[in-house]
Amino acid sequence: CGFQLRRPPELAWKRIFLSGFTEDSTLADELRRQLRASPGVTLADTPAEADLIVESLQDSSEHVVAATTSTSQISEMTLRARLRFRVRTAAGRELIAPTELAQTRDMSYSESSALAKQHEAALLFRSMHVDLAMQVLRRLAALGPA
Amino acid sequence: ERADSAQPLAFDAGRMVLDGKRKVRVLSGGVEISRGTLLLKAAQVELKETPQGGQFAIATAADGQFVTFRQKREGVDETVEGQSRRIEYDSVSETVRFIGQAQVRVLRAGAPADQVSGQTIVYDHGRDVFEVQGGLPASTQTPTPGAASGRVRGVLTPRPAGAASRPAGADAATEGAR
Amino acid sequence: QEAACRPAAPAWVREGGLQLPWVSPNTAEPSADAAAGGEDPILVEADRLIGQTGQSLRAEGRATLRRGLLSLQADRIEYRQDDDRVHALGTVRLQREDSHFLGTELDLQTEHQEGYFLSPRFYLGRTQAGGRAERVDFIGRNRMVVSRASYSSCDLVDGETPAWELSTRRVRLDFDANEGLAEGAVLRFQGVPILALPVMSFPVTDARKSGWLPPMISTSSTTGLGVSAPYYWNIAPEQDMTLTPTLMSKRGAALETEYRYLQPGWSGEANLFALPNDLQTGQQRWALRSEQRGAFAAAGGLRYDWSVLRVSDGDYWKDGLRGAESLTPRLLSSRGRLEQRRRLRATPLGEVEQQLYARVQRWQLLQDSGSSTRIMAPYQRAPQAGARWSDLGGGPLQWSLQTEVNQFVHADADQIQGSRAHLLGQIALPLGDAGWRLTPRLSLNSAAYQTDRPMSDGRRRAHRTIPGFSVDSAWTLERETAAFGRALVQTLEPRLLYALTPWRDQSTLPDFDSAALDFNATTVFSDNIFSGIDRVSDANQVTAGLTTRYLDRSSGAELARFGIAQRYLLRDQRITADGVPLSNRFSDLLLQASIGVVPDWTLDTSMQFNPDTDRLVRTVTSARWSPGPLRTLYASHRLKRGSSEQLALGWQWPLADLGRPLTGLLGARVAPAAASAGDCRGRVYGVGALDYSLRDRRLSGAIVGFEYDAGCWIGRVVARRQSTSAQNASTQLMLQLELVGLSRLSAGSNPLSILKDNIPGYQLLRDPRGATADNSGAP
Repeated sequence: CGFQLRRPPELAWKRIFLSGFTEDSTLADELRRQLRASPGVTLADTPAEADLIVESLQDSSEHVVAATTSTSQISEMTLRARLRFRVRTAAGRELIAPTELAQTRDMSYSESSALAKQHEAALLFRSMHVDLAMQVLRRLAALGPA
Repeated sequence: ERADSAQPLAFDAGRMVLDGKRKVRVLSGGVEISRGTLLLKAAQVELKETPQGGQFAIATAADGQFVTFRQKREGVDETVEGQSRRIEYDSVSETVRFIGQAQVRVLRAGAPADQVSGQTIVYDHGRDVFEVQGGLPASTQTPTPGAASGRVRGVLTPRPAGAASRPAGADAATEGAR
Repeated sequence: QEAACRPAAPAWVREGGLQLPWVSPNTAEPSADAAAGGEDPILVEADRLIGQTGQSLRAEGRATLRRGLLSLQADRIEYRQDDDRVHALGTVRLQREDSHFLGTELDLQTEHQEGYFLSPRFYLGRTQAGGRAERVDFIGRNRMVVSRASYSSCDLVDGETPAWELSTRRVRLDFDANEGLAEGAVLRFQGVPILALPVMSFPVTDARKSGWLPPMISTSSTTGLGVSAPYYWNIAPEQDMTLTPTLMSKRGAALETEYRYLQPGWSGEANLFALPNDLQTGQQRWALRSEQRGAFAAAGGLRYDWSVLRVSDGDYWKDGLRGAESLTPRLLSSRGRLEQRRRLRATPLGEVEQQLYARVQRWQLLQDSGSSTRIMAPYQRAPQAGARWSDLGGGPLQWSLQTEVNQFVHADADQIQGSRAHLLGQIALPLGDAGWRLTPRLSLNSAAYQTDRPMSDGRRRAHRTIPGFSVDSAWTLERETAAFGRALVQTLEPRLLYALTPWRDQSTLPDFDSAALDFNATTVFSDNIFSGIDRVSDANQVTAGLTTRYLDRSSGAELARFGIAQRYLLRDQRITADGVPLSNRFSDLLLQASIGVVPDWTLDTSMQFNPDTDRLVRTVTSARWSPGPLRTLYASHRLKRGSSEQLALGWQWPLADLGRPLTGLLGARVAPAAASAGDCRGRVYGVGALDYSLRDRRLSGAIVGFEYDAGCWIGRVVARRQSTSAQNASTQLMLQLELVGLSRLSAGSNPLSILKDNIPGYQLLRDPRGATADNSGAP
């Protein structure tokens, strides 16, 4: 039915710099991990050394209450990981206009197991960040050469 | 300058033709009319005696050229320069009439300070007063480059504070201008 | 698509735009080079010019004069060069940067711009407001005094009273100091004086300025009628404070102070809501919040932050008092963190990421004194300290090692407490490339406990070590296809995970921070069915999953995704959430879909299907439509078979037609021409969020609001119903009046923060930053 194994994407741009991410952003960690795993790609330490700059405009992990009990206890939460990013060359030419990617996961909640739910939320956010990073890589792979 | 009024009108030209019937002298071939610090250059000038004993000159320029006028101002290191397609000068009333794409500049210490432009400019160099008119709507006259039909323009450079702008004791003249 | 609201300048400003086509300093017009020296030249144009050379110039007939950013138009303009004064008569129109004046007579010194203007109408572009005055005296470029003026951002139509108007004896406007000082000011709304002040200051630019924020009126079943008038105090560039005195009919007088500070190395906020004497309970009620974050640059990236939230008593959440807003109203978190992340370069294992951290986590659980059910409080970490090392990727091996020590304390004395030291290690060897991946992984969870009282088996010290092994294999197949009229790439991603974890008895050990994970498409692929450290489930199972995605071939954007997953047990699972060993081999089937193909629409759904009972155990479905700025509709349905079924709606939508009659009623004249795109005069916006429980047919939460934008003022009405127990609920109604151009509205002020936190996609009508909304791209 026409399916064949995905060939490793040859990223046309070799040296990539991530800008605008906070130091403790797990999304940035995942993006760096996946960029390092793509063949031939290196992470530049400064914008000057890079051919391509992936700039984060908004990298937020939000909790929104989805359902409450009759006594104002929280029974369900929606976790939303949102990345608004832009890609431009070191010279400043914009290759990908500002785009917003979002992922949501639902999680039940109970005040009594707040510590455990902190761990679970971290697990769900890590899974969302893996997905968002993969989507960013797919978009970088779709970019033609210079 | 005021002293110019006492000066005779001198002219220098390539050719001069006396038209006895109209009692008009026609000078051509690069004409220069001077009177003290006043200097007028044109391609062709018609000179006529006026009943009051003065001269009336009509200067016209060659195609695409301008008739030019220059005169030093009384008591200040400033000269007035002007140009237009055609100039009419009456030595008795001391008025210079610039007609057609007229422009008059005041040069202060050699640099252009003020400037007015329009269809016709009437400059009374005795009383140092000028009037700029938009004249007929654009259709009949070639409009001054860039100006809306019938509009006139002026550019003034604000005087640095305290700079003398008029000769001492010439207040009487300005009142007349209002 | 309509842009967000932009206020329009009054008609007399728009029509009277000064066009001086030839006057552009940068063109090489002869008139331009006539200017000697650097001074701005004075450019004049008219039907006729009469002048005394070098002294004066009189322009007549639609005369215009321009110098720098000052431009003037009148029937007659006279300029005297020696004292650089301009005198203009007839319909005199003056524009100074973005302020416009229209009057009968003007006298002005053009260099220092000093002079006067008689009976002008004026419009200040910076505050988008203006009015009429008897006289304006210009004092320098950026200062002026307006005498006997009426000032408003509404269109001043002769013979009609504007929606609101500030009439003053004198107004001093200083754009440099960003201050407008009105003397003898009377503020009228719909002709009714609502405020009279001998002296009143208001901002003239959008920079931060001390001054009164819009007053807010609210009524609520728990606090009665409330009026609050926030005052913003701009203490210094790096700190400011908002003081909100509030009078509540059922509770008494309260003061809320919000203090914000920003320093190079650290910044933070501190809020205190103090109600000294609560009329109903007679006690003192307060809520304190303090948040600060900072970094010690010298100590190599050492960062810290704390966030403290405490309230005076357990019923605080029920009585609708302010200051304790929290994601979980019944459980208030207070925590402090000290962390350092560093990259160690020269180590035997290559580059290593090291993270050292020390944290404290305390909780305040608000028990409901009125009801019998008591909520079990979570454990508190007092303190927690640890270190984590991990590889930086790129190498053949993926590994991480974490050691941590915790002291667990519980508010309830008869709960077991104690300390735990644990070590979490894992090492993996990923093989294959983008198309096919095989990842064997070894993990280790070892913990040692010391408790303050004997555990169920009598011991006070215990330790256990649980290894784990898993093999994760994933394929990625692709083919080019086309659907929905677009060139797409469809992927097929089968995944197989085998996990083997030996059984270790943990029944006697305390459980401080572990609980069963929800069963969903993400957690089905984790080896342990518990979150946290204390519990590790035994496993000999295979989890299979299949995901297919549709990607746009040119941009790589994901347009749709469908997924299915299920787990098969090779051996019974002895450690489970409810303690009963799990024996049925096949787990529930997990289905998941999200579609973003249709522009502006996003659809998400996830379902859990039980093959034995042939019924859906759990479903979550949500849809969102946001076609343009200030337009969004959101709906979601959540079913947990046997326990809850919840419907949620959220919306923000302009109710264009409703606005017209209301406008006629309030007398804000809306010229038909003004109702163009971007001009929102006379438009009402419906905003709201509803939470309906289908099982007990009851609205568990509701927010309904209307925002009326009359162009120069915005009226906001928000009603909120929050259930506080099975039977009763607290209702709140808030009214707010925002006078555009007079008071700066901070987005954080109630009730705006309620709308922003509960309505997905809500936008402010007048965004202080003026950011226009842009739509989210495909998910």
